Amino acid sequence: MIVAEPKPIKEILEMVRDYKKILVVGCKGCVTVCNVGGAKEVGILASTLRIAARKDNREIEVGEHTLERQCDPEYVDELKDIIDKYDAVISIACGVGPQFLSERYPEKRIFPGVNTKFMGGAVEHGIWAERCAGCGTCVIHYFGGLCPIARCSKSLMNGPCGGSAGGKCEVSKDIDCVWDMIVKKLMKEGRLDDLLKFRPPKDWTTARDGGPRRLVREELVK
Amino acid sequence: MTPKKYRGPVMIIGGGIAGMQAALDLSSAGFGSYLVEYSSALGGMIPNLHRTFPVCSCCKTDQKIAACEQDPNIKVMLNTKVLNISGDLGNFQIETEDQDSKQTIEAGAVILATGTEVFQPGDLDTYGYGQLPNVVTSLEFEQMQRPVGGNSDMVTRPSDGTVPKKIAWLQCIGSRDINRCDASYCSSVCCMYALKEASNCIQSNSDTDATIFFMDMRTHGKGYERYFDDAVNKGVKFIRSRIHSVLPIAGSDELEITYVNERGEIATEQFDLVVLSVGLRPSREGIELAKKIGLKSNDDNYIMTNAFSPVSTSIPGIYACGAINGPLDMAQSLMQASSAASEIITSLDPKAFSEPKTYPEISDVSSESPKIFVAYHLCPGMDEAIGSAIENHAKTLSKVTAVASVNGDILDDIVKGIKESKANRLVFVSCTPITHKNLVEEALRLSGLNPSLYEMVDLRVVDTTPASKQIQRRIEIGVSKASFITPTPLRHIPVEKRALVIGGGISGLEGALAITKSGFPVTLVEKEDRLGGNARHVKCTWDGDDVQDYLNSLISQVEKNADIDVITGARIKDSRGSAGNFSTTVIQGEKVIDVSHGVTLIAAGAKASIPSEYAYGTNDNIYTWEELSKKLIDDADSLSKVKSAVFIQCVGSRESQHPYCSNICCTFSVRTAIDMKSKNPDMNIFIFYREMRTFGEREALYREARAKGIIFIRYDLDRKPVVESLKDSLKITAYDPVLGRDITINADIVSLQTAIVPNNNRDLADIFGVQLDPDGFIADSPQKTRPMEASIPGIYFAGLAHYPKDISESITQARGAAARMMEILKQDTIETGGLVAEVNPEKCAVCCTCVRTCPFHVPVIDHNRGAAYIDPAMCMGCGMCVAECPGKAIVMRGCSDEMLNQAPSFLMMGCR
Repeated sequence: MIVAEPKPIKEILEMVRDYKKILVVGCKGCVTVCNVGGAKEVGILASTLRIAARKDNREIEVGEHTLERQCDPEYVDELKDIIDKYDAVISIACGVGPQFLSERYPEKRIFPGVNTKFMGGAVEHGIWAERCAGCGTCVIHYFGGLCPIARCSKSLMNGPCGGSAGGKCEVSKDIDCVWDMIVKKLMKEGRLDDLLKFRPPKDWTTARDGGPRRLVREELVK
Repeated sequence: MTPKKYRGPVMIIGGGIAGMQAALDLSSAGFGSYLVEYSSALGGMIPNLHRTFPVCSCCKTDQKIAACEQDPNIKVMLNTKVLNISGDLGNFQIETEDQDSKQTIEAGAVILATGTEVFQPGDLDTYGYGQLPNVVTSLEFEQMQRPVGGNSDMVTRPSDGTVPKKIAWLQCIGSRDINRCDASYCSSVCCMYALKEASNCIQSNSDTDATIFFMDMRTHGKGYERYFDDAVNKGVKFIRSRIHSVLPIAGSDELEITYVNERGEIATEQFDLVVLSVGLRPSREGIELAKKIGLKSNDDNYIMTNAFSPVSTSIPGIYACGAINGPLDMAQSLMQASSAASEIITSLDPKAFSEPKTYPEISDVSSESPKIFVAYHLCPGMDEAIGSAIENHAKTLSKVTAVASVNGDILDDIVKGIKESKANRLVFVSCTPITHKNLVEEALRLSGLNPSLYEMVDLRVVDTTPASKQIQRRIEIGVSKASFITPTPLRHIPVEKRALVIGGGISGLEGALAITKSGFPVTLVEKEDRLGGNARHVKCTWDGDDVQDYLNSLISQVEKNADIDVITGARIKDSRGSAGNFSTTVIQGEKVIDVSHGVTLIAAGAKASIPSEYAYGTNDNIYTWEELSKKLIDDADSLSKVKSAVFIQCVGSRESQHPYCSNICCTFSVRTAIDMKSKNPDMNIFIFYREMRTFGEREALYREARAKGIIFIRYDLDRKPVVESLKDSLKITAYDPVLGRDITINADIVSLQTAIVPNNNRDLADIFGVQLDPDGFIADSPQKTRPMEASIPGIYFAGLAHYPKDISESITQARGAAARMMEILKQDTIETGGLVAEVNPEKCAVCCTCVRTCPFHVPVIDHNRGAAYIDPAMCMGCGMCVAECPGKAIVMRGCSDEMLNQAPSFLMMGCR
C-alpha cells in the first residue's frame, strides 16, 4: 500500500487559515488501511479544525466526506454536488488524491493533509516499512526475494558496501543492511553463486530517471 | 444422572478471595452457600494490597464482593464467628455467633478458607520494628503506596513525611528461619511482592534507589522471571545477603545496614526507609477452629492435605482452600477455591436457596419514545441531601417518568419502579455503579426489558454540596444517554452439554473425571497411544507419595467410566464455534471424528527439552531429569553403585531461549538427592544451582538435604560448570563462589534439569484462537483473576500446558477448571449479543486494525464477505476496535458516537 502520515496540525491550520468553509475528504483505500486518511481521521481532523477556530473566535464550517478512492475519476465525481458549498478542500489521501481533486475541480483550492511516504507494508500494527521503489523493472527474484533498490540506502545492485556492519546500514542503526540479508539468505539456500552471474546494467529508464511515467495498456483502452 | 448420596447447602468459612470464589462457583452449579466472615467486610487480604502481580486486579475483588452480595444463592454473614462444627459429610451442624445471637446452621459440606495473616516482626528486636519509625512491614508499605488519599503514588516515610530516596527490602523476615521465628518454610510470595513494590516505587519516582537483600530470588511462577528481569532493567539492586540488624543513626531518621557481600567483604549502607518482607502465617481463626474440630494440620500449622487430593482435609466433607493450606499466591488460592467447589459438586447434590429464575419475554420498545426511570442508591453515611437533590432535579427532566430511591432490596425496588412507572429505560445512580452492573441487568430482564436499556451515573467524587450543579449535570447526561440507547440484539444458543478434554495426562484425566462426576459426558483426546502423560516417568511427589499407584488407579477409573470417550493416538484438526457450542474435528489415524461440545479443557502438557550442552549425548551416564526419573522407576538398582552424583539446575531455563523458571526442577533434584542419599548414605551428591527455588513448604526438603550432607554449589551464567566425559567417569569443573576458586568433581552420573517446554500449544492456540504467553504457554484470560480460563470464553486449561507446575497443583487446576465449566454446562442456552461490536461490511477497508488491536483476538477477516467479522458470542464488548477502526466501520449499539457527541452539549447546555 501507499503509506502516509498526517501533516503537522500547525501546518494544516496555517494552510487553511483564510478559509471559512472547508471540506475534509478522506479515501477508503491505502490511507484508511494505514490509519491516516479514513473516515475516522476525517472526523478527527474536522473536529480539530473546529476546535482551533473556536479557540480563535472564528466562525468556520467544516464538512466531512470519505470517498471510495481518490485515484479514480468516478469516485472523485461524487463530490460535485457538495463541493460548491466550500471554498477549500483538504485531501487526506496520498499525493494522488489532491491532484485528482484539483484536476476535476480546478476552481477550488485543494490542500494536502498528509505527507505521503512510500510504498510498503505494516510490519506490525503502527509500524510500516518501505518495500518497493517503483523502479518499473522488478529484480527481486535475483536477490532472494529482497529488493536492493528499495531497501539498500544506495540502491546498490552489487552490495554490500563498506558501510555494512553487524547487519546494519551505516546510515542508521534502525536500517537493516539488505545486502547482509541477501547474502545470508542465499548462503542458507546454497545459491550464493547466483550473485556471480553476469547481468547487464539495469534499465533505469523505466524508473523516475525516464521522467514522469505513464502507462498505457492497449488491451484495456477502447 | 443418578442422584448422589448426600445433598445440601455449603458452609464457607472465610470471605477472602478464595471463599468468595468457592461460593460463586458453587452458586453456578446450583448450590446455596453460607459465606461466613469474621470481619465486617468481604475481601480478605487482597484489598490491603497496592497492586497485585502482574497488573492491578484489586478492582476484580470488588466485582467478586458485589457478585457474592447480590447472589441469591450466597448468604453473606459478616461479623460472624464459627464456634464449632459437628456432624459428618452431608450432615454438618455449624455453630455461629454474631454480635446479636448464636445459631446453628445445617450444611452438607464445609469449606475452610480462613486465609492468611502476616508475620509480626516486633519480637525480632534487631530490626527495630516498632521502635524505629522508618522500619515498616511490607504490608504497611503496600498501604503507603496506595494512591488513595493525599500522597497520590508517592510514598512518604513515617518519621518526617519526606519522600524516601533510598529504600531497602529485607527478605525472609519470618520465613526460612527456625532460630527465631519458628517458620522453616519459605513464604513463597515475598520475593514477588518485594519486586513489585520496588518496581512500582521506581516507576512512580525514578529517583528512588531500591535495594533488595535476599538469600535466593524465588521468582518461580508464570511470568515471574520476566518481572524479575524487568526489575533488574528498571534499576532495582539485588544484594545476596541476609541482614542481621537495622541500626538507627544517631541524630537522624536514617537507618544503617551492614552486610557481607558475595566476595566476603563487609559493607555498610544508609537507607531512608527499610521494608521488612514479612512472611505468611495461617490465620489464627483457622488454626483455632481446626484444633477445635480435630482437623489435622502439619508442623507449620497449615491444614494437612494430600498430594493427590489437595483440598481434602482429614475429615471427609470438610475441604480447605487458599492460604490456610500453605503459603499460596492469589492465583493458586483461586485454583484451590474452584477445586474445593469441584469436590463438593462431584460428591453432593445441590440444594439451592432460591429457584432458578424465569424471565418474562423481552418486549420490543424500539418504536416507543423513551420513558426513563431514575433509580438511585446511596451508600450508608452519604448525605441524605444528595438523594433529594437527585430526586428534585431528575423530576424536572422531560423524559423521566419516575424517580425513586432503591436503598432496600435493589433488585426488587428497580423491578417495582419500572413496572409502576411503565418505563422503558433505566438510569441507575450510585457510588461506583459498575459493581451493580449484573444486578441492574437482572432487574431489566425481570421487568421484561432488554438488558442493555440502562445508563449508569457515578456519584463517586461528587461535590456533595446539596443540589450541586455537578449532580444535576451528571443526571442530565445519564438521562440523555439513556434516551439514545437502542436495544441490542440478543440470541440464545443451545448449550452442548459435553466437554472436550485435550490431553490424557494427570490434568486431563483429573479434569475429565471431575466433569463426569459433575454430571456431564466428556470426550478425551490423547495424542499418544496410552494415557498417563509425563506422570508415567515420575516416581514420587515432592512430599514422597508414590505417583505410579495413583496414576494407575486414575487411568483405570477413567477407562471404566462410561461417560468418558477416550480417543488415543489422535490429534485435533480444527474447531469452530464459541462458548457453549463448539464443533471440533478429531483425527485418529484415518478416522475423522466430529465432537460437539460446550466447553474445552486444554491439558496438552509439556516436555523436558533436550540439552545441547554439558556433554549431553556423549556419555550414557549423563541423564536429563526425565531419563533419570524413568531409570529410578524401572531400574533403580543399577544406580546403587553410584558413588558420586552431580545435579545441574537451570539447564536451558532462565536463559535467553527459555527466559522463564521451570518451577519444579529444584524440588525434583533435592527430593531425588535425598532419596538417593538415604538409600546409600556414602554417596556424594552435589547440586549446582543458580537460585535454590524450593518455595513454600518444599523448603523443608532443602534443609533436610543439607543436613544429610548434600552439597549445594551456586553458579552464575557467565561461569557455568563444565562437564567432560572421561574414560570411566565424568569430570565436572566449576567455580565455587564460597571458596573463590575452581573445583573439580569426579562423578558417576550427571542429571541435567532441563527446561520444560510446551508441547503443541502453538497448534492448539491457532485452532482454538486462544492466546499464548511470550514463553509459548497458554495465556490467562485478560480479564484477570481467572487462572483456569483462556483468553476465549469456554476454553479452560490445566497442568503444564499453562506453566510448569507440580502434580498437586495440576490436579487442583484441573478440578478447579471442571468447577468453572459449570457456569456454562449447567445452562440450557447461552445468550450472545448484548454490548458487542458489529462491523458494517460496506465501510470496512479490511485493514486488519481490529484484528490487531482486539485484546481478545476476536475479529477475523471473513473472505467471503470481504470484510472483518466479529463473532457476537465471543466479543467482550470492550469497544477497542470501535475506537480504533480507521474506516468507522465498527459500531457498538448502545454506545454510539451519536450518544457521545450529544453528551457534551447536554453537559454544557442542559437537556430540558
